[in-house]
Amino acid sequence: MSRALHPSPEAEAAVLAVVQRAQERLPDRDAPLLERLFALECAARGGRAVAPAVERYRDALREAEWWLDETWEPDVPHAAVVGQALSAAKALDRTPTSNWPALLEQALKALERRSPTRFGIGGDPALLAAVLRGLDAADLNAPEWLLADAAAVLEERRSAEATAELADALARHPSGQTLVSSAVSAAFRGDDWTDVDAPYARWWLASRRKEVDHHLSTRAVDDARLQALVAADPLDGKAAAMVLEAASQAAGQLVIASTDTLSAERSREERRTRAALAGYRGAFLSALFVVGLFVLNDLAHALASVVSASNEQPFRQALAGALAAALAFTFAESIAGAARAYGREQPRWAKGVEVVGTVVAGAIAAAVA
Amino acid sequence: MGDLYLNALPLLVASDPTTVVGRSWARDNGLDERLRSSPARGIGFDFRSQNRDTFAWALPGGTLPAEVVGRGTEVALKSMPAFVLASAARDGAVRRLQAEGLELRSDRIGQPAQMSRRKNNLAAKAVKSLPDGVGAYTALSVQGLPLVGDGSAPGDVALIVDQSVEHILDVLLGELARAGVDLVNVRMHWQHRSGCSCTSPEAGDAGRYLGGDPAGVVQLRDGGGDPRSAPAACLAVQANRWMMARYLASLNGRGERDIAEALKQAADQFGDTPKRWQNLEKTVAWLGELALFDGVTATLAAPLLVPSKSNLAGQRGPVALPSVPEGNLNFHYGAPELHDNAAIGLGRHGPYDEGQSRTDVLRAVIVAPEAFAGEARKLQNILTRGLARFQGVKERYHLRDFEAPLQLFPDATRAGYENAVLTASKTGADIVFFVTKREFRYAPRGQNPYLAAKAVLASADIASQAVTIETLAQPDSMLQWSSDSVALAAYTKVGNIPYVLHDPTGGRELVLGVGRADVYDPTKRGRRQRFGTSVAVRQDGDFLFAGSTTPVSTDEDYETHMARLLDENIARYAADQGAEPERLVIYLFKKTGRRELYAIKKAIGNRDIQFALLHVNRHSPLWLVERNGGRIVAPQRGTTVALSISDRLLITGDPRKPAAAHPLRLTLDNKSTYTQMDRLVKQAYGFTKTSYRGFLQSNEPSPILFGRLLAQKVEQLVPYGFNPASAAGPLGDKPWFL
Repeated sequence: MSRALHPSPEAEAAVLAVVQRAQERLPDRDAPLLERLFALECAARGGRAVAPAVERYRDALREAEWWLDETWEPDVPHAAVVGQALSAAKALDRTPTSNWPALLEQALKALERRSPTRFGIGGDPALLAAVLRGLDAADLNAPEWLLADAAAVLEERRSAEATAELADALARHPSGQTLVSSAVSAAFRGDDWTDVDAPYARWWLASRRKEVDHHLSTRAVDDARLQALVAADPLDGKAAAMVLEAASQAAGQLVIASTDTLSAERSREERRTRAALAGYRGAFLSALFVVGLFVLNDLAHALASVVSASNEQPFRQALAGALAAALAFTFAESIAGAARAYGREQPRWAKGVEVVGTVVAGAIAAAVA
Repeated sequence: MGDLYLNALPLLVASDPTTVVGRSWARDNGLDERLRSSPARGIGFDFRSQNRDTFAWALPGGTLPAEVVGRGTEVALKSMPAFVLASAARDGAVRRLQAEGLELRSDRIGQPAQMSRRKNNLAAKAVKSLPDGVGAYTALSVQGLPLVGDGSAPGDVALIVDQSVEHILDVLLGELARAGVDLVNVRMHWQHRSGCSCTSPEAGDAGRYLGGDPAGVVQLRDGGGDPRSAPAACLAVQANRWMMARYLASLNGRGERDIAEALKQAADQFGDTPKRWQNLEKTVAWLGELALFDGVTATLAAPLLVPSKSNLAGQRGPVALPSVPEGNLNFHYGAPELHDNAAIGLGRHGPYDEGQSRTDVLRAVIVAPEAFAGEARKLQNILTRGLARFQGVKERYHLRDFEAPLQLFPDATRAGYENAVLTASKTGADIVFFVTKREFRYAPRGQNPYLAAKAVLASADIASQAVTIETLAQPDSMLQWSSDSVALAAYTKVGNIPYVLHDPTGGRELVLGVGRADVYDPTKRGRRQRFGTSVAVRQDGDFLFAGSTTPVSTDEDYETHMARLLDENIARYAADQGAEPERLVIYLFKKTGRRELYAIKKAIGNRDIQFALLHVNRHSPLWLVERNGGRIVAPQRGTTVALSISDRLLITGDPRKPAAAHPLRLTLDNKSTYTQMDRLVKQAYGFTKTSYRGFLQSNEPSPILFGRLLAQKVEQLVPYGFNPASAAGPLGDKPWFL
């Protein structure tokens, strides 16, 4: 049985420090409703470690209810808020207000009639993502035009944060799968511009969606996590929410160890594996030889028939000797293999014992047979 | 908050209300015309027509013309509509002031009567050894104001008394021309001198100067009338500060700019609110008794205290309403991030279009003559690295990159600038900064390097931003703010959007601002009013600048152009937004009338679109003060006074600055189908925060400001080869005219 790796105190401290820093940068009360709803969803997905953050943002859902009720217009801000509110409610396992899916559909129909202008739902990956998440939460399909807009916006240079959001949202829709790859690439595209929150967004994306795993190398995910852990505090409220989710999920899972320790741990694991393999191999072969001894008479009869011999006794003795010798050799080699897995080479005397033992076992068996 | 007072002096009529003061009859345009041209008008009688009625009355000591003596019915004082009483009060005050020695300079119906008084020469404080006949004097204007509604019913009336600074340049036109003063298009008034040979000396306005011999006979035109000849010796210019500065500079060799600045300072000191209010109170006592009609006199009460109320129920006069709340600006498209202060909000949230499709790699070129190389390098440093609190363009606007290489050229002449900016425009730059000096504004017509460079760049569809060496010579403590404003204008001119007016509950709305520039057209040798329009649309809860139009002259089929403009914008709105607007709001530079109504109704047709036609008047003679015990100050921004349900005064100026007490007057046309005046006032106030010429609020709403700037800029650039049609074409979607 392998020994479990336990999170080191350093690992716990590093991750929790990130969670703590993220909490300080989360959207404040004056932040846009859309941002607070996103923070609520992230906190809800973050697990027990950030349960207080869920309570902090729970009001956002009530505010969304009021805002959508009182100020409804089928426009971009309302579509984004209703989409994000649906998604947040789903993350909380809460039943959303019953007319929200209809409102989202109504807004999308109105927005579809608009001409493409500089400002619109299709020009903003973060707004698109909110709507796509909402559609997923309401079990609605993403309209073609919205996916076309998503494809177009991915051609443009946008922040990793917004693109990561879009990649996550697209991954929720079967019809959006074809775009996920380019969205993930866009989110992970190196850009040292003002996009200082990029590592957080990338870590969040990698930790949130299994669907994006095959688009990313382990190295890319490791790098994103490492960069997020060492990066300065997130600048943006949304990035803080992202890192809150990713880091709180990682709390209790990450290990921080020195390379020597990690190397020794890995060697131990490897040795255990090799010893076990030697044992399994020996056991399998031994079982075969034992079965052969049990059916020794049948084997000798079959062998004599093949060469048309009338006397089966010599064949029985030869087979018994060979099987017994092989059994003895296998047993000895399994022990030697396990010893080698732990770095202990077989001494010469042991080799001699192995050879002698094999011969003696074979001779005795032949004599007895 | 103290008590609000208006510079309106309520009229206390002493006579018996049943006294018959005039006659009234159904309006007859032919008769109106005859009465208007009667030589006895204004001396023996006067009349006014409004809607379907005409009212005429005898002036003190005068009689009605024989033609109307038995016409219609008699009208008693108590039945006389307030607008007639207001008119009579204004004329009574003019006669009273004339008796005190003031000269009537302008007397147009519906406008304040301008009275000149040469007693306190403010220019003497700014310039030593002023020649005779040259000065800046305090002047008075008076106008009647019905206190309830539009004055069509009998009611209380007040007299508005305003003070201003009048520049007097009683110098022969020939002498002014020799001093280099450009007389073309300058308004003239009659100034008969001793020995004048005019047989029937006229007074007041004479019209605008068209041409001729300034030492002999000149050509004038008044309004849209025919040109006429007049002896130059009987005319004087209606001067302004710059004209006076040029003339004085030609005499004493002092810099023109220095003199203009000194005159401005002197005028600003006079504009000090408490001092002006004290002067007003003295004027009340001085005006004494006014003769309104034959046998009817009135006195003036103390300036009107404006009571505060929360609504207009039972309104009997001007009412101070709750201040307009500070409109919020939005700094993030789609997920509003709000602040009521543009500079702070931008610092906190970044620009509105960050994360959207915008010019986020901003390539600029700085062009300057070699003589200004030092200043140009300073500008380059400031724009790229910042100065004090201004962090530089890249940081301030969260740009991916900003570059501003420097290009120097040898001669600071018109040709030098033109060639240099033309070269810069071919480098693929988004914007060209060019360094000028303030003196260029005094360059002769057609030789202004600033305008020449601007025209070249506008024609090439490249945004431009001029910065003067005087601006760059300011101490850093001031230059940091100027630099911030320059960067804001530059960011906006390339088509980016730093912030917008947020209006979360507005509906589908289209706002047009129609502004005016008065221009001289050398081809027609006449003055024209050219108007320009800027458009703002409400989209996703924000008002976005949506373009400008080709400015056109009001003489050129104004109604048809307005109708086409509205129709095109409604169609564009419907195409962009997927639905027609619910509402049209039109800010107009002039009093609204049948021409605008015709245009709107034609454009709307049978569509279900409400409209509000709003006259935005920034030259109203009304002003407000706040008194708190003995302390008199200009009211805070947002202070609102309702003169009637559709007529509001709105303070938009900074209370610490001169003329801050002067409000905007917003008058809703009574044919408007959208009448939510509170919302319209709030919206107009909000638009004062989106001028993008600086972070400070402007005094007027940006749509009408943009319309005016557009018309002005096009007019300035046309002589330098700029094609006005470009203003709506390639340039139309950017506020290039800022």
